[in-house]
Amino acid sequence: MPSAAQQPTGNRAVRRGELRGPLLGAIEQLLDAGESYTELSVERIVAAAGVSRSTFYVYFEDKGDLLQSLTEELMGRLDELAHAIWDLAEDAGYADVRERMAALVATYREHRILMGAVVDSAVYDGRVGAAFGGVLEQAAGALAQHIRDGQAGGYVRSGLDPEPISAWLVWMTERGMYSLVREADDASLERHVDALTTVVWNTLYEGVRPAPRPEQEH
Amino acid sequence: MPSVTRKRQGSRAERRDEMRGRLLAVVERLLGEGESFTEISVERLVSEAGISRSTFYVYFEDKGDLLSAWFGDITSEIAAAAAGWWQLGPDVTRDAVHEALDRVVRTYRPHTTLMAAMYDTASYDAGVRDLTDAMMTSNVAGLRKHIRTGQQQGFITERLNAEETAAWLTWMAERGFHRLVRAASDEDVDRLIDAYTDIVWFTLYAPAASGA
Repeated sequence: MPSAAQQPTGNRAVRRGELRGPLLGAIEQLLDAGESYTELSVERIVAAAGVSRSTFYVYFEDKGDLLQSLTEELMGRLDELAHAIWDLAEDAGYADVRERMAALVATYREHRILMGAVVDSAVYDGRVGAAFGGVLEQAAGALAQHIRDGQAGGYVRSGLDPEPISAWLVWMTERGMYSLVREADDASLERHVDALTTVVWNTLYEGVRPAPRPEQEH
Repeated sequence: MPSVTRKRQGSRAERRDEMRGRLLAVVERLLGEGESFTEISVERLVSEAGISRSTFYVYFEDKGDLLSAWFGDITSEIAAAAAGWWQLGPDVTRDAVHEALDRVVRTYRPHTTLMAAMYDTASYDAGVRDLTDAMMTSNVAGLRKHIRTGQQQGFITERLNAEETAAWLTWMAERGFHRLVRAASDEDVDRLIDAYTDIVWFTLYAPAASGA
């Protein structure tokens, strides 16, 4: 990626990385106080972070660029956590799927302020929207591959159409995380993890994977 | 025989409807070209629709008002289609679910572009958000009630939370309609409806049907 002409890129990337921490802290603090990312100015973010405006613009093009940089790492982690669900052993049971789903949900919730900013910005910032759309497309692609592998291996329900099934499930997860998980208290969070796991389990595995599903409170 | 007064009222309402139609057609075209509703100014909207700015403000408060007037009509149309699903009873089959969801999707489909604009606008416009929230709340409540009825009558599995499952499935539909159905060809819409049916069928009804 970096060409010879962009030799300083290495240092620049390091400095960019160093600035992320204070900028993220400032943004989360401002958003937590009820501000919306859409309305936050770069001036206010840098002031709260104790970074000068000119320094900010050396390393970031604008607010959207900053947001993308902040979320790259988080998106990578969410992607890994989703993969961990599909990478479970063929004989994994409902409890195993639920445990890994809970880890995905917990990480999203931990970063709900940032995730909310991403989703809200994606509406008007084409670059953020495209990046986030790309993440979801990749997630759907990975799930479709899991469905195909599982159908061939006999541990995912046969007859499901991999692409549209995975597209629906990924959008369900994205929207449910944004609308339900962000707002949930601890008790309802557990119920949301149950519901999300149940839709995924019943659709893909129920009656196909050998492990019986435990009784669930409702 | 319409009186002079009624005729005038009629033509005013007609004129508003006609303007709304023209403005929404412009909105839909611009959205279709990849613009976001947020970025489309009223100035641009009225000039492309061949309406003066002042005339626009006689009939509509702002861009959001233009959308919300239309939203009310569509909401009741979709609610009627969804009722067909929620009326399914103990003799439910996958075919019946497919038929009901097919109707919901096909009712929604012509409106997906503008509906997506409503939901996008909701992220920053509190007035629009009230409308979309009310629609979601009512859809979740309808599905939750159906799930509870099904659990009582034994045609929906007891091993799920009616409230939360209804919420996840309703959000799946909202986003899926806007992001998947909206861009899909006729053939892809068939596949999407089929997959939507599978998810709903296997989540809610199949475990009960197989005696699990």
